[in-house]
Amino acid sequence: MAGFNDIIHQPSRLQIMAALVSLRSSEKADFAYLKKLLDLTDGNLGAHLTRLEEAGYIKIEKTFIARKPRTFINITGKGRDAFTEHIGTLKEIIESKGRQNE
Amino acid sequence: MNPNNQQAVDTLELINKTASQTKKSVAAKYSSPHIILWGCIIIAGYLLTHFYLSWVWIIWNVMGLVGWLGMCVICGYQKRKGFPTKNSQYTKMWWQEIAFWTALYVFIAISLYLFKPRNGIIINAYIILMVMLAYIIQGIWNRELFMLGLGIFISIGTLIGVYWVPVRLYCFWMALTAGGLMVLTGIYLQVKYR
Repeated sequence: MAGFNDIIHQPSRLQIMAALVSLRSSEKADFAYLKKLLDLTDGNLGAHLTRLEEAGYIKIEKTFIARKPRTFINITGKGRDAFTEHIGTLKEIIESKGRQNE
Repeated sequence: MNPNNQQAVDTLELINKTASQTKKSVAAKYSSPHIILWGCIIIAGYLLTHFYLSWVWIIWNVMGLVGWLGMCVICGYQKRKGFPTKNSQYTKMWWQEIAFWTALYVFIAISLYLFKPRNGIIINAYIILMVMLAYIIQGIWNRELFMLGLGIFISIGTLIGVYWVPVRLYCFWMALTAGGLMVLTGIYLQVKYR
């Protein structure tokens, strides 16, 4: 399968990507919010985000708000395309099974 | 290794569930303080109207101003805090929100001027119903079930208030149904998506 993406398919990374895709393109998710939403630990979420950033699927922005360090994450165009392609591949798998059953 | 059919179905379900949960929680986190604020203002406004009926226009103008200022404070705080999300187009969205509510109030004012209703309860119910229509439209377009629900239930509550609640109890009824329901919904959203 050409569009099947092993980086995205890992369950936690898949959820991170699904959460980021559902936001507006101008929106960046807060690290603490993602952690709570997906019920992950700091270390776990950080490791998955690094993996996705290395692949060029997300951008991580570290900043200070009211003198406190904050991390924001948003999906890149490449990430959006890869995620769409991955969903397409999953749908293809389901449809091909359906055709086999007919 | 590629997933089999069932794994693909489960994965798509997980994606849809996460995306929907994210949209709901972001919307709830942003909307709930506003809903609580307006709920409190509505409760205060109706209670004051009940006791000082002759001051009704002043009361509601002051309440509107307090609500508007409160909204500005909440929006400023949310923008500064950047939780759950930071939006680079926040200012643009904020102006869209202002423009939407201003347009609605202008149209309410125009229609009241054109039809000139004399009954205070009818005027009040009309304003509430128009605002609830805006909630319902917002709920439909943004797929925000809580806005849709609030719009429908408060509209029903208002109609019950107009037709079945004794006039002397109307303000209490509206404080309870409209204001109370808004405060409770806001608190529920705060707790659910804490």
